[in-house]
Amino acid sequence: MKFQKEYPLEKLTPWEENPRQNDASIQKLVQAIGTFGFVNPIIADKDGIIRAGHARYKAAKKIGLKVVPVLFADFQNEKVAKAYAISDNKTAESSGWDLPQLKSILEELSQFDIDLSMTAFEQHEIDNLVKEVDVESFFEEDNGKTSGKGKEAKTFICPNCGVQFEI
Amino acid sequence: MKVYLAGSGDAPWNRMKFYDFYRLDSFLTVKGSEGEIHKFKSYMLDSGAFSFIIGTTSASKVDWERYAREYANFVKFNNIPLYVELDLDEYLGLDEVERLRRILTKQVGWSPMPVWHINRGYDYWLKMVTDYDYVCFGSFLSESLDTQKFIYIKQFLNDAEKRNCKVHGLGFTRGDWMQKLPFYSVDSSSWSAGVRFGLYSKFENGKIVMHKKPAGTRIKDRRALSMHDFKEWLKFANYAERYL
Repeated sequence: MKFQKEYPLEKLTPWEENPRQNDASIQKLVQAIGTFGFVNPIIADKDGIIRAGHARYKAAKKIGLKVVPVLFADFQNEKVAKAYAISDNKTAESSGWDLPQLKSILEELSQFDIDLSMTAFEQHEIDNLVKEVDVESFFEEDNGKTSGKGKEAKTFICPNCGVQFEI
Repeated sequence: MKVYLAGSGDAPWNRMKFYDFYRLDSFLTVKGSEGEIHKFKSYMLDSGAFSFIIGTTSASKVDWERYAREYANFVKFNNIPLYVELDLDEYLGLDEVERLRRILTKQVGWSPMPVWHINRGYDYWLKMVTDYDYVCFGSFLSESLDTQKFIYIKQFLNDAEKRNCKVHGLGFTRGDWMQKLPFYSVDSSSWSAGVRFGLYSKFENGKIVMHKKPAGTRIKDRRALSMHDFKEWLKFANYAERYL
């Protein structure tokens, strides 16, 4: 096994038979690489044929990277290389999420003004994951500072939405 | 129906901007946010001319041609397909508005969305929806709507539909009427206004319902509440796009 931190992208060859469909993930990977850098090496065989990381390869091409980190694996033969390529994708599918833990981390991150799409989750997925908002938490007991005690409330009707309210 | 959300109120823009939504901005306030323009689902730019008048002492002293040219430069430079004309009929008269529209069209390379106001009359509406494929409807909508107005607007929308022209209802998001008036798109900044009056928004059964704050309380965190309102309106916008 040999690792090259900066291997010319043009010397890598995608595996022609790759059965994995990954176009939908390219844009997210472009964003991830832009944010975190190219931290997950491409796995190639000794001839430079990609066995894992085709989507990262496409994202690198899209960004215009000239070199990427590559881990060259010593597969016993072509059959083993193919099996590895499939296994690499399939084992990722088998993984699941500890949802309470995931929620907790997303909630923690959402306290800061950072782009949670960096996590590769869609915003609506994040909204669904992060706990249902308790609207009452946005309010606190009014100790009289802002209630205008002693003043008669005035009623207004919003000209746009027609809602009637008092202030 | 597409619902363009305008303004940001107390909601933190640096969180709002990560959501995928239809955005309407004003030329007066957009400067500095150019980088965001092409990240939205769709983007529409208003001239901001009306707000500019509100903030100035005399409309007659403003060099409107210069304003239009700067607006055109911005639109062209940022390649904004949907932008609204300077609909200052009340202050400048229709002839001048049309002259400014010609300046915009020539300088940008594509025409602005013309805005129909009641002073332009019905024949002008028919001409607008014949000559353009996307126009704005700018009268009646911020007033109280009665049955007579409803019939008029319905007729106007029918006229546009027959001519394959899309109509944007400027500032029109009254839930009770939206179900019945098939605008192609509308916009609203009222989603951000409730927090000022102790109201908050909830998307319920296909419409936005404004709730009063709990009795005896005050808002603890205006930014958080405003962000909550924004998300509720996004739910509504998604619903409107699918079902209205």
